[in-house]
Amino acid sequence: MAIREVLEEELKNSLRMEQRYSEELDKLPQGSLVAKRVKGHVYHYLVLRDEAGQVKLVYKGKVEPEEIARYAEIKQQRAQYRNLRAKAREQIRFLRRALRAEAAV
Amino acid sequence: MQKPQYELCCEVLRRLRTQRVLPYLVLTGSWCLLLYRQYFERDELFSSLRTRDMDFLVPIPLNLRDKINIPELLKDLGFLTEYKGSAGYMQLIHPEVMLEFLVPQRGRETDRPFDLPQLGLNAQRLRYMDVALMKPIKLMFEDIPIRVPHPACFALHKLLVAPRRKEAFKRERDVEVAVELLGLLFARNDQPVVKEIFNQFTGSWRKTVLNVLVEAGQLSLRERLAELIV
Repeated sequence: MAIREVLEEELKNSLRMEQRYSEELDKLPQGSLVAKRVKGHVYHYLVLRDEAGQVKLVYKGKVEPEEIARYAEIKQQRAQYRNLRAKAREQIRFLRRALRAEAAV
Repeated sequence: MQKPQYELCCEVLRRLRTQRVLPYLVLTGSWCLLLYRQYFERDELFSSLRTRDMDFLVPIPLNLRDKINIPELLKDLGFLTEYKGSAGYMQLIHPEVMLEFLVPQRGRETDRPFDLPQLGLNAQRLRYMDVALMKPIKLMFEDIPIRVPHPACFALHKLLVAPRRKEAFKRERDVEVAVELLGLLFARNDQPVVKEIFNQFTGSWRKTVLNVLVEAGQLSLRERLAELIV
């Protein structure tokens, strides 16, 4: 059984996956919507990081419930894609180690 | 099989079943081997390394009553749609499993994907896939009945496609699996099914299968198979 070739094929697949999840993450709108209560009124802000990595709050004013739901969905999707990308990266590390070990035998 | 991978496969199959698509599909590729353990009633069989590809063969014409969009159906599980190669075959990728859809290549050879608007995707055309559709059997994946090719069809198909494989390791793996399966089928007196399938092959297909066995040094198996020709 050609273990090396199978591992190499799987490595290629994981590398492709990592790239695809990164692309999908880039496509998602940045930031998370947070609600702040000031003097009994609810205001929405978009929390995001600027290019220097600093957290920024952008005032969004009154936000429709559909928009709130959309941001919640995006947040969930972002978390899921990050998890799956991390999984692909873990596989890449494992497969590279396995290929190195196999070459050393 | 790893637990998350197994659970994800079950969930994919459950969703396809709920949408009433699963009865139309035939699971092919290395995942069938896992299910053949049930057929042969031996859990220790086929422990060989398996890739993440899970291939579904779609019989054409596909007479689905309701359209469904499979990429949308599986999106919330984290599957992404990927277009493979220059031809652009669709593949649904996930770190645990990669789904591909296949249809039999009929007529002139072409790289063009086969559109399946009823499923919201396209499929790769592959030569000789009709063999896998000759005698599908139902086996259980957890609590989900799923159609797979009869092991005789699977084995003979592997021998038929082996010479077309570009990668030597895939060719070797095909022959290795086919030889093991045919050995198991003969051991449980399943010759009538092998005979039935093999005799549906054209003369040139049978010749290819027998030649592959000679090249692999499986002379006694070649003889047993040749004896089945009527």
